Order: sequence, then structure tokens, then C-alpha cells
Amino acid sequence: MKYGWLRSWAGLTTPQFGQLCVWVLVYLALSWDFGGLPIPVGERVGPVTVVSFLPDVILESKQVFYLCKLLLFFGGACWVLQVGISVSPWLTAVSYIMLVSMAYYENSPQCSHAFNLVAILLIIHAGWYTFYRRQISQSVRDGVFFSRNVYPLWVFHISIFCIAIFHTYAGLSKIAASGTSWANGTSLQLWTQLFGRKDWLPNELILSHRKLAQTLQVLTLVIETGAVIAIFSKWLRYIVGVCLLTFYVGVILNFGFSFHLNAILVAIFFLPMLELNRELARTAAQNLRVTLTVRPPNLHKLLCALRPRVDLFSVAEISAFSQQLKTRSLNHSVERESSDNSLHNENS
Amino acid sequence: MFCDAYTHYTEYELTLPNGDVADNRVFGLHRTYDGNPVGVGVGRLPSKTFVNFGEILPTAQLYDHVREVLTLQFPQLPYVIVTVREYGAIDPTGFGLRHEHKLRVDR
Repeated sequence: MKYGWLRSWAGLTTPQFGQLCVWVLVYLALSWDFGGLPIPVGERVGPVTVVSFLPDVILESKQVFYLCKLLLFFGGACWVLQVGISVSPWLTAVSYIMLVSMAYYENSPQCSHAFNLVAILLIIHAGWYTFYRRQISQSVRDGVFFSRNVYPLWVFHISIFCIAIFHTYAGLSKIAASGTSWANGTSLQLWTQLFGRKDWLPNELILSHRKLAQTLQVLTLVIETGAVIAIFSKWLRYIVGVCLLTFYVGVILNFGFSFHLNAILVAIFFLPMLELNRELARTAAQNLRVTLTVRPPNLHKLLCALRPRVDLFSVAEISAFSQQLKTRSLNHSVERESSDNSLHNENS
Repeated sequence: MFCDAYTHYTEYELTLPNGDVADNRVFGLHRTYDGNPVGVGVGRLPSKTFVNFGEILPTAQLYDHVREVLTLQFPQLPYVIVTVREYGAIDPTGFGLRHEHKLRVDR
């Protein structure tokens, strides 16, 4: 009991939730339109990212930027299909970090905090694949990936820790820069005036009611700074998750910032998705079975190879059309034979 | 993001003699604030501006600056009109355009 938390961190479980997170992370990484490389203006300052040590000729290179885009797509596709798992997770993570750094930090006078969490979680999940690559590749080869205990719970807990710290740091940086008077109401009104959606009722209310603006700011400060308590218990995590999601919905609707990436990750890790996933896996294993009958032999082969990699709840069976016909005709002849025998017995 | 707690800001619009609105970047009167402290956590500093976000430029200082740019970079323009819009608390509870005035700057 004393070391219950340690057991929970060190434990292993089936990888449905972990793999789902990998798919979501790769989707979030690939779906973002990075556009082109910004034309660098203004004096160079820094260092600001982990790739700041690279020379300007690389950081400002369009060729490197488009190569990273290509590597991100290639690495992401390989990771999702569990091909080359020693390399593909890191290829995805590193090329994503490089793209974000080049597009939003190194060459730009304006930064965006919408990509940090995706980058951090990509690293954590790439770490999972690196430390468990033997077990993962063996279970994939055996076609039993989703039923083997190859997902270490430290991946889940470290992800929660990083998301919580990320938000607490945001709250603390506000207090460090402006003190508790940050929540004065007027500053939120200013940002709403400057960046907010025009002619939208909640914004009109914020602009005309300072007490409302101040209340929202106090709540923001409390939720962000206090997010770290989510690491202590699952109920605290759910509460913080709901509060953070409400905050993100407000920010996205009001300002239109691209914080939906963070909101999705908070929803996955702070709401009871792991538990829901376990429940779904259990129910599906007991009650659900899907048989896919495929005629072309090549497609059958391909689906047979893909099934253990994408069949999250192990409910699908792939059977070849000819094989099914063969089985059916065999059953039919057995039935006929047995009915003939019974008729013969009755006659005799 | 949004870690500063500004309570007011000013925007500047420049109108040319023919009525066109000029890009205030050219006159160094643009806003570089994007919600994050300017120049922090970025690899490049924003383009130079005469305006510090959250501060109101004294009229004499603004006049001298625009006149200098006009003289050095746009000798063909006889004058520009600078519209200064100051946003802040407008009553005990509201926020909006607090003050607006125009300033004619001759070369």
C-alpha cells in the first residue's frame, strides 16, 4: 500500500490506450498546416529551442524545412503502422520539433505555445517505443500486440505530469510577471478588445463588465496554477481536466487561438479515457466479433498484416472468400452425409 | 501567454494627403505585442517600432518622430495626419475607445 504509487507507475498493461495516443499525436502532428518557412526579419536572439545550436544556414533553409515535412509524414506513417519502430518514433518527434522550431520560434518574432505539449508527448511516447521495442516488435510479429502487456504506466503518468506542469508554469509565469494583480479584469478586457472575436455576446459582456472579466481571470489563474494537483489522484485529475477544458473552450471561442491541440490532449489524459478504454476493450472482447471476408488474395494478405497493428480491441477476423466457400461446402457435405446416414438408419 | 497585465494601449493610423491610409510600419508606429512579452521566447526580435505597448507617446515626441521619418524617407509628402486612438477603461466597468485625436504633421 505504501508503495502503491510506485506499482502504478511501474505496472504494465495492454497498449490500447497508449497506441491510441500515438495515433492521435501523429494525427495532430501531421494535420497541422505549417505553411511555408517565415522570412526571417529582425535581429537574432536566443537560444529559444533545443535546436538553437544549429547554424542559421540550417535553421533558415527552405530545403531543410521541406525535408523535415517529408520526414514527419514518413516517420508518422511508419510509426502508426509499426514499421521500423526503433527509428520511426524518433524520426516523427525530431522532425516535428524541428518544424515547429523553424516555423514558430527560430525565424519568427512571435511564438506560439500551441505545439509544446504535442512535442513533449511525442518524446515520451517515442521513449516508450524505444524502451519496449523488443517486446513490441515480438508481439506485433506474433499478431498479439493489443493483448500483450507492453504499455508501461509510467508513460501515462509522465504525460499527465508534463501536462500539469505545463499549465502550472503558465500560471506561475503570470504571477511572476505581474503578481496577483494580474487578475485585475482590465487586462482581460484589453486582450478581448485587441484579439477577441468582434460582435460576439460573451465578448461584449466581458468588455462591459469588469467584475465578470476579473472573475474569469481569477478562475484562470487558480486553474492554471493549481493544475499540478492533478498528479495526486484520479479524481483531482478529472476535476482539473474539466476546468482546463472549459478554459480552453473559452479561449478558442473568444480568441480563436490554435489551442485545440492542447485541449484534445487534456481531454485524453485528464478525463477518464484510460478507464473508458479498458472498459471498452473488455466489453468488445466479450461481445463483439467482426469477420471481414476478402476476395482478392493480395488484399487478404495486406489486411492480415495490418490487423494486429490497427485492430485496437482485437475484434476483427479476416477470412479469404475462397477459404470461406471451402469451409462452407465442407460443412454442407458433412451435413448432407449425416442426413443421408440418418435417413438410411431410419429406412433400415 | 498573456502574462503581462496592461490596462491601456494606443493605436496609430496615418493618412496621406490624398486620403490613403499608410502602413504604420513604415513610420515605425506599429504594434509588436501579440499577447506574449515582446522579444521573449522567440528567435528573432520584431521589427523596430517607436511605440512601447501599454505606453502613451507624448504628443511632442510623436510629432518629432513622424516629422523626422517624413523628412528623411518621404520628402515628396507635404504632411501626414496621425490619428491617435487610446483604448482603456472608459467607465467604472467598461473598456473601449477612451480618446481619439488627430495630429497634422508637416514636413
